[in-house]
Amino acid sequence: MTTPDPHLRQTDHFIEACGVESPHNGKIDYSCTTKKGQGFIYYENGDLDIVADKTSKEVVGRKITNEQEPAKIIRAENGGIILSAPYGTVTIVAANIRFVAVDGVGGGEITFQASKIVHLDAPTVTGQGTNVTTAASNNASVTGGTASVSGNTQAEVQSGIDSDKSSVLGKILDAITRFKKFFASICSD
Amino acid sequence: MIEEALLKSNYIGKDGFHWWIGQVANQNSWKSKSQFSEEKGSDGKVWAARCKVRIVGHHTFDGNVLPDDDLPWAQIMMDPAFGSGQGGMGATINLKGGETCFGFFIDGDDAQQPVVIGLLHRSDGVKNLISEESIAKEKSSQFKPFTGHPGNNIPATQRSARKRKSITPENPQTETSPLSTKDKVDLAFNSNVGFYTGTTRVFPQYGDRLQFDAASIWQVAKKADIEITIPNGCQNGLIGDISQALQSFMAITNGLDQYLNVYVDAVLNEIVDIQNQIRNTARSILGIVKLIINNLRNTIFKCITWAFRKLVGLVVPQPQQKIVLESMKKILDVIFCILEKLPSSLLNFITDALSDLVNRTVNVPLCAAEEWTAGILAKLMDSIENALSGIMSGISWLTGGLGTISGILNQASSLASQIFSFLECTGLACKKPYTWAAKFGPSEKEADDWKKMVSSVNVFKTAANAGSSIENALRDTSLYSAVDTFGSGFGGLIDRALSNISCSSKVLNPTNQDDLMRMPIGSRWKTCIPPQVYITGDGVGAKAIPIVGDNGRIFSVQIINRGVGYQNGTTDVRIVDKSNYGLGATARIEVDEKDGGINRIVILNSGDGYCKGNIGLGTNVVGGLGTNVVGGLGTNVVGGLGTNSSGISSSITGIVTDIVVDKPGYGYTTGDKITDGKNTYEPIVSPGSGAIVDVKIPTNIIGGFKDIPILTINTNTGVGAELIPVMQFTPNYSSTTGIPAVSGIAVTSVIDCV
Repeated sequence: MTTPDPHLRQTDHFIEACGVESPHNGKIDYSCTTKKGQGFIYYENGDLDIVADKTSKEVVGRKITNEQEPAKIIRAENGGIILSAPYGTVTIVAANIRFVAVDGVGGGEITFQASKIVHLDAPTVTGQGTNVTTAASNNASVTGGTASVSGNTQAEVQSGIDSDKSSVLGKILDAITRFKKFFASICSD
Repeated sequence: MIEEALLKSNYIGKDGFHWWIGQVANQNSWKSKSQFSEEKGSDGKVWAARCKVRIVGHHTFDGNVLPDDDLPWAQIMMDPAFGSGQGGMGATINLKGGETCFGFFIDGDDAQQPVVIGLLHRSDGVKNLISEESIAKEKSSQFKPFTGHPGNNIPATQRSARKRKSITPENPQTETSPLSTKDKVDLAFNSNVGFYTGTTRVFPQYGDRLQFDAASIWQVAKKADIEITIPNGCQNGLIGDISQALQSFMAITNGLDQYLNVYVDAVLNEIVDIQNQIRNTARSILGIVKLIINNLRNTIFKCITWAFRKLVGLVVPQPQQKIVLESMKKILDVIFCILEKLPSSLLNFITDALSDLVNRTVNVPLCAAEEWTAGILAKLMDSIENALSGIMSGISWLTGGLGTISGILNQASSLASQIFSFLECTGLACKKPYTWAAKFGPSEKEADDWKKMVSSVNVFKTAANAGSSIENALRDTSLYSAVDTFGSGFGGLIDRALSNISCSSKVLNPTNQDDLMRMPIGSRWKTCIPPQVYITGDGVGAKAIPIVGDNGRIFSVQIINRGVGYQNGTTDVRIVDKSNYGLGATARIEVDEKDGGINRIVILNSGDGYCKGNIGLGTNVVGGLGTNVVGGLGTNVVGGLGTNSSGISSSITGIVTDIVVDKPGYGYTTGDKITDGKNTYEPIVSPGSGAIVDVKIPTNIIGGFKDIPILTINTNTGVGAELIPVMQFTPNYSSTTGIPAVSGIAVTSVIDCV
């Protein structure tokens, strides 16, 4: 393991550093920081800090003519990607937006969580799955100019109260069935 | 004159060539008329790159005879690598005044046109011998070293000019604070705190200005020192999220100096809007509280609809059922509305609770954060019960009673995951909640324990029912009250009611890293606390301790328990010093895929500044050192290595047990050798590219290393390989026990505490 000498270059406006110890994250591989406290730090351990005190703008793809050519790729070879704006709004605007979760081991999940509302608004809203469940602890409503509920083999609309009642009725029918079987067994003898 | 003119060639070098050594004059005499300034000449163009120099042997030191203003202008030779300025190419010169420079006279014997061609280095050891004020008064620096920063008041080679300001008795908030000025100073704001002490170590070979401006690196690092709670989609870490938000907030405020209600971040060199910080943190916490309310609301609805279902289905006659169900719907709508509006009413409570913490305490251990969180949730429960009391009492006769709101909190906790788990096989894969911090990497959090939290909430409610308010009860937790009983070891009533009395002492006197919250960049805890090793991953039970060398660097990491269930790729190791004395140590962990236990921990960077003590070494030692110790220290020593680690860690030495190939390089041959200064190792080289793929460790190796040795590869052909030695701490405890130390030929597996 060789340990190169640290290197510093400084002007009134910026400082470049290589091989010096950082405040908290091991040695600096290369950094360029300004007197305003902006800049970037590459660490020897592979981390990178980039700091801009206000808006960071990045414009790419002006010369892309093929729609299939990506203008921007952010790839995490390992680990995840986090977009965090705790006091702001994350806005994604594009011609098309797709969320795809492909992990075949234990993942493959897409979740949307909100403390107030999740709102979908489009001329056509579809959902498709092997099992689809919509549940509400208070009120669930399906409304439309026309509304239809259909099932290939069975369609059922039932309230909890009816279910309770039907379960009582079911118990009675079950008892009758067993009663009939009992008499049938006697008669067959 | 005529003779002189006739004899002179006026050709550089032919009329004599004179070298000289001099000193760049104080910048007040030249900088405004040089390239450094935006001031332009009469032709509207900027001045050339030039300065004034006082030349030894040509110019007197006496400013009254030859003031700085009358010194000759010197041209500055430019570096062809950077350019002269022509065509826009070049670099600005970087003279400040005071530099010892070297050059020649371009006009030979006339000696009126000096040219600076280079500078002699000034080390940190050169002290300033004349002030800027004296230079102005004397009109000369008299060839003495000076700062080169007129008006900046930065004494050369000293960092103290920018030390952080202490809290003073004039501070009105100090007078009303339970902490005395001395306590506060002792806790975190004393004169030893500050980033300059750190940079002194980092840049010893440069002058003060470099150390001063190295602050910009600290500023960028501090701004990037973020901590993020990672949502796992299951909302099973909400309690921890509130505690985390509190600790992050305190980490920010700990880095601030307060004076006359103005908060200054000395590292960032800016005045901080503390109210904005409080608002944002309160907003974050309120967002988490809102999720809890939503879960709670779902459970309330579930309970009410269940009760109505039984009531209506079994008791209410058919003609009246529709009316009763319509009433239920209206009740639920009202409850929905009340709970939707509730969070905004809690904002002030959380804001006030945070405001009272600012400048009151420095350390927020997890136990204290959980107490505080319980207080916030107690207020939430209290607000919900008050808001819903009318409705709930009105319907309780009808439904047979639903119990208290807090009583069903425990049920609400699991609803978030349940709501996605209608069928067992389609539930979300809820992993353990964790946070990620720039300084420490991922940290696992405990999943919400609502049973425990409800119990704590009930303590607050009991206190409130006894005549106190939730607000007062919250101020009786260890964070607020511990400072009132400094030294007693007891916190407030709530602290004691929670059987958490040790939490108060943790707030004030943490003894290990678990007791301490992270100190912000630029601040240190009042005392150095030995580092700890944290292992995170899918497994359980792994435990390791860092061995700090005599030089304050991490020497090795001893695995105390290998644990089970770990996997390479998801297991991480961190060497943590939240007290901010030790910096930079990093390590890599390797898991045995067969049994899921930790195989070894390789130090990648030893860091610097750590203090010894080696938490874990001194505890739970059975029989001390001399009894039942076989083959050194390992066999019958339980859970540790020695009493208070004295003797064992007083002189750290060790051996190389393995060598890890970090970069294989290429071009090496089988005849190449690797040496650590005491031992020689043989690399295993791939026949194709000549890359080093492994290193053979000899059976008997010589130990006694006090620091991780630098490995040297003796080769004539290979390049690029980087090898990391894996160290094993070999204790030498003869000084305290009289038992001869194991030295010289050492074995590679001394410690076996698993």
